[in-house]
Amino acid sequence: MSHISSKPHPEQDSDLVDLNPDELPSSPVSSQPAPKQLYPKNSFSIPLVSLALRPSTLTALLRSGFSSTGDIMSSCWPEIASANEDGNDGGVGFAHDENDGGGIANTRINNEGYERLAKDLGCSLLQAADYALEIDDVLVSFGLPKVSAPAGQNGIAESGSTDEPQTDSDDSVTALNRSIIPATAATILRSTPNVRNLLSGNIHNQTANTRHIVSFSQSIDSLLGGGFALSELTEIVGLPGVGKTQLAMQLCVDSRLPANYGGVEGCSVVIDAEGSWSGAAGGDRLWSMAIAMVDHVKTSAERKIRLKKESMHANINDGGRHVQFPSWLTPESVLEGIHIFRVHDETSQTCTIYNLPKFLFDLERKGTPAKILVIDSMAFHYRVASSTPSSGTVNGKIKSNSLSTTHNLTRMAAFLTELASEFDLAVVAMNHLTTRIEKDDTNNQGRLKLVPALGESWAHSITSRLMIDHHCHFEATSSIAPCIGEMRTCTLVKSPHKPTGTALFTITDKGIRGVPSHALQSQAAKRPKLS
Amino acid sequence: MVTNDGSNDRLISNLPLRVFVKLISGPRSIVNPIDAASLREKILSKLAGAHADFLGPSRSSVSTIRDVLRIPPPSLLRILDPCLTHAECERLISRIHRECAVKPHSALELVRRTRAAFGGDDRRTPDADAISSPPGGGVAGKIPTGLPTLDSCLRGGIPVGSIVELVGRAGAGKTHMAQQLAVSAAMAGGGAIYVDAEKKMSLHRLREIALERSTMTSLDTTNREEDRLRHSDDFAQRLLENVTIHSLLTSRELLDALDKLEGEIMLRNSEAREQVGMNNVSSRRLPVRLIVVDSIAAPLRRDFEIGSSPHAAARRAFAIFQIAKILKRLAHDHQLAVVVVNQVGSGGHNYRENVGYLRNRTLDINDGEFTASLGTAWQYCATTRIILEHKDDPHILQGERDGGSIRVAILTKSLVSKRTKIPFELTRQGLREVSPA
Repeated sequence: MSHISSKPHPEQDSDLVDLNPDELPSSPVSSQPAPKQLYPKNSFSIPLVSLALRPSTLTALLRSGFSSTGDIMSSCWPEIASANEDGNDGGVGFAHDENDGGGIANTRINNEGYERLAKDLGCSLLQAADYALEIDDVLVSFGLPKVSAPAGQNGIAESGSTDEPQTDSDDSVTALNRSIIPATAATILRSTPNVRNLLSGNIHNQTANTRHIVSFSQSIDSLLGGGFALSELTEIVGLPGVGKTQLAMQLCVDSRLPANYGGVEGCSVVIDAEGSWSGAAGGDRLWSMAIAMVDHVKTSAERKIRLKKESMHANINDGGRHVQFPSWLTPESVLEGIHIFRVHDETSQTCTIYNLPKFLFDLERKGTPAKILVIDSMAFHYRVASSTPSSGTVNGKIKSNSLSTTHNLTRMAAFLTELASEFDLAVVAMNHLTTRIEKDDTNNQGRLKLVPALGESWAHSITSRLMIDHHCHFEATSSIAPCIGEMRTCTLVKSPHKPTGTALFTITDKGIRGVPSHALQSQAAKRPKLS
Repeated sequence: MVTNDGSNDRLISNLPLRVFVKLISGPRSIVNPIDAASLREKILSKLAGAHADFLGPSRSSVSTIRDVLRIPPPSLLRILDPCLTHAECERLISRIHRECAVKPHSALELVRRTRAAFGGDDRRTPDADAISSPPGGGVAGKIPTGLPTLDSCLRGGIPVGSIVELVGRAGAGKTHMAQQLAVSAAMAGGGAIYVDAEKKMSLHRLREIALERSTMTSLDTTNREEDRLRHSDDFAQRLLENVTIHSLLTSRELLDALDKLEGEIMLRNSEAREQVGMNNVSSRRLPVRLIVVDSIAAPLRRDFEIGSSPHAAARRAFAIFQIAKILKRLAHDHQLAVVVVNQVGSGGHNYRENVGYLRNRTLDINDGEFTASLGTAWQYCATTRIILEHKDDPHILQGERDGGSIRVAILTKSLVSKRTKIPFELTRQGLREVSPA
């Protein structure tokens, strides 16, 4: 659960009089309009029903006639209401510092206020203080001033957990802290390094800020506009055995590419739900891909050095710096940078994903930030859950089960998107294809159709979707047959940046590679029938 | 008929106390110290009595962690009223997340762990022994199949840690291959568990394969006939002592048997460890290295009639996922190979037409005339797939050699290899590769 402060620092504008709580743009989920009241200047009042309070608290307060935070304030601290006439920032002398390690012990100042509240509510002093503090917590988490210390004491949006006397430092890490600053499209575009390079004509200068992870198949990369984009949630869907895991493994290995070679120099985090990465076969595959990648970088480095020497350029030292082969790039280090979480059921998967921010923070602190998060696969455990048969009637009672699954998926998708932008990594999720019976208008018997699993709502939450399939063709007996046998098509069906299209690639023992050009030519001659 | 979803899940009552410690802040905790244990009791009882209508009509209380995580936050606040405030609810949820999250391992660690579990040298690079393995086996993490080309494609043999599917028509040789794998596992120093759902397991045949294959390998070490016979007899004895057989018929029995497997595996592994510790001579008890399920299709097809009701397919898919989940976890936790035998159904042409052009080449048997049974759901569960078929090509000389005809093993789905066809025949020694004529 994230604390998103959905509005800026509350304005202490002396022009705001006659504040009608209905018109406050900042109040969260306002369900019923509160009665219009003339509130003192320099204060906000939120209807209590729109705060996330415990039902017992809410009923107790409502029953005693309090319907908004302004009511509480004016009942506890009527001095503030009158003091605000001079345009003073209220709260003088009521500085209630929660971090003092106090609760009741330190609030002799506030006792009066709580006593009045207790009298109005008809409950004990402790209970009243409890209610007030609860309201404070909720208000603070939305960046609003507290009822017990209004205005000026605590305007900055903070997560609620930092308020408690004994702060559990680990808790605060999981709440992603941010404030939204509005920006124009021009400023955002100006700050993107790639565009900056393009604008200044400096395309070849790729220093640290590559925004894509390449896949070693040029057709896929150009389909996606450079590769798998950082800060985005991409989905890969396809039939089993078509190469989804292979593509993800290639991406993890490629995320380690040095910046000089078009890479992002980052680690990878893998949520392995199906076991393909943790078994002996997965380890072998990663190893051979890592070796192939390191070899590729080595040969290209050597070739660059040779070219530089041959061209007899003056500043050969400058060339050497760019083509220097990084010594830290070994297959072992590549494999060490791939962190695999093997999750065996839905609970582990959910908990591990929600617990990732802490892990990612640690990686950043150690200087090896993660640049790609792979979830292989998103669908496996959810299909276990959603295909649960209800023991009740046959009549589609699965509905209530799938509603909560959909809700969870939407929340998780939102969380993943947040992770992607917060930690600047590419999130790649694998999905399955499932059969759905399409009702045909003409006949009753529905056609079977293969559609991506996980539902519509998930499909909206992802940024881009790639569908992978075997290349439809007949077995050729010519010499190019060995490579055609492993050709795949990769279709971009959903993307905000690029038009839809199809790319061809092959899977070799080195990993994902492009299709050799002679094979492409012969294929073009035969005009294969693609969907 | 099949177990419900909640039985394998973690109960909230098993959450440790530290999740509840210092959960509450404010005056309530200072003056009236609420200790973690009583808070936990309160929360548990509130959850147990919760009317959770979003869990489905068959569930009436929230008792597992998965259910708690499915509750939307405002509902959780309402259910736990007045134990926790909103902020405290969030803190509880994030602590549950932290508690149930798994620990990561780097890929390098996993590779080394597989090799260490097989007693290999974990400092050697994995590709040093990736090429063809000797018939006795010995590549860390792999169980050789006995067909050299197949083994070299698979980098040594059937990998541990994932599910391998053997699929083919009746009489193609699936059970034979499964039995041969059990023998190979024993030669590599591991025991096997055979879950026999078709009553096709033949102990006689198993022993025969064991005798033949161990005679083959001991030809290198000794020339004396009696020594060889004694050695192979000894080996066959050891093999049979280390293979357990579970016979069953229904899918319910299958799930029950799989649930109990973990206990058996741990018991056998610990016995093997003790014996190795006591004397360094070859021990009689071997750790479990292989599970064979022969077959998964028989009980499921028996119990779930597809087409009888609209939800039969969903129920079968659910059962498949349950089985796959258990098998994968066993494979990963105990570093063993899991081989599952599947049958075929003749829905080839209809299947293709209905789904349009989206054909799955990894499933085509006899060029698409047949397709593996159990539908789309099962396809995602197997990491490696080997199709066994008869080779009907009239150009190949179909001689009756040792009572078998030429067949083909096609490796169609694998992380480490592309699609490969390996012709073989069935002999007394088991499966033997033939070179294409």
